[in-house]
Amino acid sequence: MPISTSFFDVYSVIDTSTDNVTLAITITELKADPNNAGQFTEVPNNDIEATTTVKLGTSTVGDPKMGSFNGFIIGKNNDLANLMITVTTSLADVNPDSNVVRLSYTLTGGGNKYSRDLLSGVLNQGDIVEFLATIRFY
Amino acid sequence: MKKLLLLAAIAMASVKGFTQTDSTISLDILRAPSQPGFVLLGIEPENIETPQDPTDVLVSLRNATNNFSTLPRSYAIDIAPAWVFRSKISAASFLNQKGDKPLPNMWQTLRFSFATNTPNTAGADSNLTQMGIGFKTSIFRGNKMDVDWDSSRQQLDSMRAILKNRNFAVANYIASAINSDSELKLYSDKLVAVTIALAQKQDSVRQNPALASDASFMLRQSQLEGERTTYSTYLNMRNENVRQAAVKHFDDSLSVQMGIFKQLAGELKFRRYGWKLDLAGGIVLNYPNQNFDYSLLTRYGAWLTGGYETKQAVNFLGVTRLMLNPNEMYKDKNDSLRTGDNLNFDAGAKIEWTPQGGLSRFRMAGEGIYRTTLNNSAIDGRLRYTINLSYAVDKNTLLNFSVGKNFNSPTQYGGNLIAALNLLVGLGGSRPVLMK
Repeated sequence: MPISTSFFDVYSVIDTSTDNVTLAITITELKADPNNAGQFTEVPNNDIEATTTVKLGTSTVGDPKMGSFNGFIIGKNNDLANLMITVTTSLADVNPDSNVVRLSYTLTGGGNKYSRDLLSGVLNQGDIVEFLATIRFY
Repeated sequence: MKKLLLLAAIAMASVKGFTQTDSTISLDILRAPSQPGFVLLGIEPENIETPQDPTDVLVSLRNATNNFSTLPRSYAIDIAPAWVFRSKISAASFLNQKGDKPLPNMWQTLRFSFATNTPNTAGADSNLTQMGIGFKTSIFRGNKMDVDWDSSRQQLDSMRAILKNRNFAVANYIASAINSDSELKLYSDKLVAVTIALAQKQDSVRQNPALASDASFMLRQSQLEGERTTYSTYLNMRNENVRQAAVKHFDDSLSVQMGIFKQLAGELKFRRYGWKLDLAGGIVLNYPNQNFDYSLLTRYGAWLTGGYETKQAVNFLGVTRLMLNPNEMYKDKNDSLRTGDNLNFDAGAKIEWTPQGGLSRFRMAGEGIYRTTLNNSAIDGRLRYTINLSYAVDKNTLLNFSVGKNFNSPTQYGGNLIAALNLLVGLGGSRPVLMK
């Protein structure tokens, strides 16, 4: 998986539906597998420090979320068409036993389930990295 | 050869003086006093050295507890070459080492120790200065890593507050930039249009599979896919540019906060535990007249120290040591003074406890070692035991107090009291993490 800390994509919603569209982010710490060059293994204790703010247009949706989360309601299907969300995650590597972080985004409730991963590079302990997911609803 | 070793010591210490310090995090890794140079001289407060991560340079001043009225008579300096010449060392690999690869362990933990002692003696030995030159390296140094999040809670709370503030500011910046970017809006409309068109094409194929062999239909689909890739690539690039601009803006404007954040992250305590095994050795030179050109090789040997440290920071250690003492004076069974090349074998055990799961400033240890002279039956076996208390005065600074009974000397009988105060200062605890 290539190293990338942002993406832009589109997500279909259902104009006639009042169901909620929800977002989940799963944060996974990884470290290089000493036995397999180029491969990563998951660090069992997820001690990453991360804060995520979701903006719909320029308005903040809900409260900032700490760490991994799921079921975060962005809005109703029929309210979201033609709007754009920016999902900004600030993440700090405070665990010296890991050096790579994967963020897995999942959107549900709209036309289809949508999943996308982002992967950070090597972090120094105490460094902060920002991930950005921008999604245009249609 | 002896002079070469001394010159090497001076050269290495000098090199450290010119080493640039960097802005990397500083980890508090000095945990217990243990210097091979002092062990060789027989004046180490703890004869069984606890395996530990090395600092670049470790300085020790040792003094008998003479009401603190005299200057220290013993000095030691340890130098870890992998960290002094550390341009090619990755701290990430240092931290990620699981103790199962002896060679990287041995290089990263190798250190040379140089110690001097001026015994408080009268008569012919009143001018005697001893020098111990030793090495120490860890073959296994704990295959598990523990970060105590509970005791670091205050740091984490402060870090979270900084992280939250930064995230809020960055998110506002990004949302404002994205939503005021008319070109991004224009191309996102195009991406939506082409995505809808592609979805309709795919629906058409599902409903009428014959379209899959229609060249013009497939050509148009291919064109749409190409357009989608183009728009998507452009939007991803534009989106990433906004992210990078935000990061740069807040790295600059929040540089003080980021410095505090980095410092807090560096203060998080961590330690290794699990199986540990150290190899050490060296030589002792005596300078009877404090004359550099005249020295006597009086002792050399090597030892293995190993054991297990629990997650609760209780250390169970054992040591085996072989030490040859050329021309050593001893009393035989008839109390006659003789000299001989005595080969001593030591075996001992130690238990050590650091409260709060290894994160307390206070540490206590007890140890006992039994010494036998393998090649000389005239010398009885003898025992040494001590209790050691240490306190971390500050980051990378330890004060150690030892009390107990030393080995009986081969030339006298009766106990030797050990009562010593030891101040250790670790220099260069910073660990650089290289990008890989």
